[in-house]
Amino acid sequence: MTAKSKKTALQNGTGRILFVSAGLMLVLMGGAVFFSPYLDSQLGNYKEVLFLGLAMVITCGSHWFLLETMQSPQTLSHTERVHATNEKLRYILNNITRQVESTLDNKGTSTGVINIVTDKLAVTLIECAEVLAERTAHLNATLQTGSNETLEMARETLLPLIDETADAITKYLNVGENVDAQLRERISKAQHLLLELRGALAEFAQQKPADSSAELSACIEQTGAMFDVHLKIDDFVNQQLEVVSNDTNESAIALVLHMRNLSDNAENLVRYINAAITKISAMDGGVNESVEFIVRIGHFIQEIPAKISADIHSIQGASGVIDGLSHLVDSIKEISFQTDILAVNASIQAAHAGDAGLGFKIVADEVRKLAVNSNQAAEMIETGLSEARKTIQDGLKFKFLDEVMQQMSEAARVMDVVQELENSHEDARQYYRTLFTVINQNNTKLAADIAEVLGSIQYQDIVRQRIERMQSATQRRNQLLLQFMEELERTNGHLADDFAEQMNIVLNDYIEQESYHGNSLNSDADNNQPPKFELF
Amino acid sequence: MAKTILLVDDSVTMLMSVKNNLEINGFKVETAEDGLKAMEKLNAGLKPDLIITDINMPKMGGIELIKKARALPGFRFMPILTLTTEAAQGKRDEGKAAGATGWLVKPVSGADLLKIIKQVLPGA
Repeated sequence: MTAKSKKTALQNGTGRILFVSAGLMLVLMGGAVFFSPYLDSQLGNYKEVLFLGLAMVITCGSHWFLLETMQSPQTLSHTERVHATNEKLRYILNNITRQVESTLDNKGTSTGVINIVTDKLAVTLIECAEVLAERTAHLNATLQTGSNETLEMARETLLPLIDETADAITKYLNVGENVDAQLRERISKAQHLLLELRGALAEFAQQKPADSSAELSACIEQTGAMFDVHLKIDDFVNQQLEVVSNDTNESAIALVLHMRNLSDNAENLVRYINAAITKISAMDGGVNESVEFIVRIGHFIQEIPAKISADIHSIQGASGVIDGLSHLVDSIKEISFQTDILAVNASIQAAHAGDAGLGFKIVADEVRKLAVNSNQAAEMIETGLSEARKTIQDGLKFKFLDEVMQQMSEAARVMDVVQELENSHEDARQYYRTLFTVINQNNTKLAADIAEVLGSIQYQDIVRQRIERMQSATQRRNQLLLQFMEELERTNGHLADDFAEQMNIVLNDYIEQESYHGNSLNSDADNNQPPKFELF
Repeated sequence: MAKTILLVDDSVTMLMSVKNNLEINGFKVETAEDGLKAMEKLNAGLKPDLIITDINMPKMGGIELIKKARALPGFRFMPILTLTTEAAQGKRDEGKAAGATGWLVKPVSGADLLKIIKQVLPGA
């Protein structure tokens, strides 16, 4: 800035010297032309030497003046000094304003980017947590039905969701770190530049001419004071940025820890589901075998009455045939008896006939023998039939008993199988009860973790508000700087308002605003803070 | 029957995170982006069991919302909680004078929020 002022003064001085020297050279050339005949007659060949000498004198003189001008301090008029001062101040303030505007601007630069990015990521996180909660609730409902296929589906949907949530958190952390680093770097650069400008201003104030006016001194002093407050605002903004940085960091760590718990619980849940699927399959196999056996036995038992009925029909048929044969034996016996009587009567009649009946008596005896033999044969048949009936009845009786015994044996096995089935059912009930208890515990933990994740995401809103307060303070400051510049130009350095005081008001308002919001993660440690929760 | 909560906040993040937390825990949640929209819902006949509102919002802030809601018939004894970044005692006194039931400073963990809701909503 000082160099620029000097340069302007030098340009003015150099211009004057060049103008004078060029004028002298023209006068010399004019004289040479005008007095040429006279000088030729008087000096002859020495004329050129004379003009060359004069030209060299003019050139050397102008150079000497030029060197003098460059080395000697400039003496400027009051107006020039004020103008130069204003120009320097304008240069400084332009730099400040440009730097400030590029550092803290609401349209697309760091703070705006922070708000947009963190907001978007927070929304993604919340959506993930919402879907996770919904699907775990669905999983719980699915477990109540106990279907293997739905369990598989629940497991398949749960795992990618956990990955999606973890990805969202990783992105949140990465972007948060990048944005925070960029913002802090910009602030650091801006502060560095401002410090340099403050140094330049202090140097300028020291170099100001001894006879400078009181307005000029006041103007420079006020500019310096504004710089001091400006730097204080930046310091405070930087402190708030550190708080923001710590808050986002702590919040991110809390998020990661909650997500880790969430992930662990979800993995436990998946492990239990896997074990449940395996065990349920095994139990299903055992139950199916038992059921098949019972169905087989059921069919056998169902067939038994039909078999018994058929057997009874067979026995009744055989008995009927044997009874029929018995009637035939009786008929033979009757015939034999009547034949015997007939033979006896024939013998009596043969005896009455005397010798004439001797032949007839022989025949009658033979017939009687035949009757006796017939009777004996009939009795033999009757005995045989009785034995046959007895044998059939005994045989059927034994067969029936065998079947009954077999049936009893099968029935006894059915009881064992039913007992096994009941045991399996009891095991399954116990297993399901334990499984539901464990899964409910995990679901409760999941729900608690999801709630904590959602609570941690609230820091996005707190950070947003803190940044908005920063933006408000820096915008007020920048506006004041612009007003200061306009006033400086308009009044030509004769400032009526106390801009440094107004800048102080901006700083104090900002500090006061921040004091109303005790929401840093570390604010709990501060005993002077009112309680976080209060019921009136 | 699920209790209804009207949640008022100009931050989408806050609305989503608190709404989800409450819905997971069995509450029915209605939302509004500022005090004006909340009043529109209340005037349209919404009768929540609890109102949770932010303080600093565009169009109509939380304090004004509490005052206007308290003036509605049937809202005299309804619990109204504030959920805000404001922690200063002066602002709390202002909220209390307007008719707030309690003052919660952000962030509030899911468990803490439910505990406080159960205190102001017995049987929830």
